[in-house]
Amino acid sequence: MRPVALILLTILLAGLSLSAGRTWLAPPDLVQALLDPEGAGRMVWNLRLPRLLVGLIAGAGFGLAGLVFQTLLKNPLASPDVIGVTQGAACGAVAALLLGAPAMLGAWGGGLAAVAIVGWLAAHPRRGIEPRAVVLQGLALAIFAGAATEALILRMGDGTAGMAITWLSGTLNGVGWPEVARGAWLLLLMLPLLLAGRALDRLELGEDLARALGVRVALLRAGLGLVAAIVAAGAVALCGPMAFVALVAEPVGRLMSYGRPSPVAAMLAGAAFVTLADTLARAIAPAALLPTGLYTALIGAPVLILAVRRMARG
Amino acid sequence: MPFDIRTLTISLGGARILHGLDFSLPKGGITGIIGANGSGKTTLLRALAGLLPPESGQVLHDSEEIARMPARLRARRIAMLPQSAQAPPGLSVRQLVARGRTPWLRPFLPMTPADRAAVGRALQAVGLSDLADRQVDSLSGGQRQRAWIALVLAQESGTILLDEPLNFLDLPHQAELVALLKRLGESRNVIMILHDLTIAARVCDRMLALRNGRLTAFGPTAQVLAQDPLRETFGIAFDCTALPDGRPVVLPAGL
Repeated sequence: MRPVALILLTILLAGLSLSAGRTWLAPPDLVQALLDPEGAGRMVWNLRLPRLLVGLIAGAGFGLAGLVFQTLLKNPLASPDVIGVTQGAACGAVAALLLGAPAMLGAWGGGLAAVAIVGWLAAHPRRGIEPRAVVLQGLALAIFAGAATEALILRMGDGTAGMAITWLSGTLNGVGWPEVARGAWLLLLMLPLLLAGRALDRLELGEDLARALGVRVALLRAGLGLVAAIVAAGAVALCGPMAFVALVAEPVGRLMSYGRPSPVAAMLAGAAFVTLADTLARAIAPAALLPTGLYTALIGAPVLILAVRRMARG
Repeated sequence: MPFDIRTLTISLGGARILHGLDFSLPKGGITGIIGANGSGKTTLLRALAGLLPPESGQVLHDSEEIARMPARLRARRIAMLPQSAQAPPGLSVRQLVARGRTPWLRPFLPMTPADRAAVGRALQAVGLSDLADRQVDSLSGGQRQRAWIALVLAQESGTILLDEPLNFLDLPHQAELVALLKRLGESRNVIMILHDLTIAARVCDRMLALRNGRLTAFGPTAQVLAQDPLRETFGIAFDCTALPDGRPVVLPAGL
């Protein structure tokens, strides 16, 4: 029941997102526009549709990466935007921008470097990587990466620096079909995360029992952690480090799937969340071009508080 | 031989936990592992389950080296219930027990009718069929422990390893679980860590005693639960007597 509700909500928000903007489209006009890409629908096809698709893909990526990190590390706070992966990716992307390299490559480099550094910092010589240490070391790394990013931006010209600062709060402004094509690759990388639901579920029984049930925990941790970092960094490359999406998608997805870790639910929650925020960004102040990340933060904080309270009450 | 242990040595984080253990377990029945805290009982159990690679030596199960078995196939033959097992929130008893089918499930596909039947049998065996749709959180301690046993039963492995399955249970629940474990021992190899020597005397067919990672005694229960092997295992003297039916009763001397 509830997973179906999440799908319907995502479709509804996608429709709303296509209608919203400087000129609002009534449902019949929207259908007409979608059927006529060359004529009346040019604006929808050239601007709103790619923007919607990139938002959906990035949101799905953030949601999946959030679920994987939070479940692997057994900590609802351990999302990629808390443990420094998102900030590392953003720093890498800005550095790539400065060097004239593709942002996606920079983001992947930064995100993977962040995972490697946090893993190294949080590794205990005897007990291996400790989840609690990952959160604390990651927090420190996130702050450091943020400072490094600012230092890089200071070296840019005024115009580029302004764009970079907007991008750093997470934005879908100026996104077009080339970004959709890049996002399609990201969808491919999300596939292993989508298929990891059963393994993540078994991990919640405790590591020894999961292993006794035949789950290859070490391989799973390394593989899923790596892919989740690449997916999160890829999402950052598409739309900037959008606040709270990864953090919120996991508890919301869990509420929608009876407390179980469900990749599909986390993916839909992330996608719906970004779509909602971007619709608000364009509906509330269409001329201001306010970053979408502003609205994910505005909605995300209270949603997170509610979700955590509800989970605490059982 | 379900288990052949050959000069098994295991270290954890640089500290040697097991020192060259050598023993073979015959088929069937219940084997109890006893020893003081830190003697290496849990490490031995985890090694038998294939969760710890030997530093040297071998663990063979039906003449096959466990370390070389693919994880899923190993899990179909050997089940383990660790003490660290935790019930995730929001699961019904049936859903928890169904987790035991994991090594039999086809990748990415749901349970088959055969899987559901195995879960039903496991629930029946522990007497939880009527509570199958209750939340695990709402069960009493004894019921919850039976649910965990059912999870391991649903795994349908020939060998079952249990780490202190009787802990935190009151006497009636212990008696109930002991009866269940005895039934299990008739058809499978059950190996479990026990603290209570009185209960061990009643449930185990044979026992294995460890001290500081070395074997101090191994053999039929009456042979291990005797003054000399117990003193060697625990470092204190024991008073040993026997019930009219011949089963031993032991107590630390001076208690």
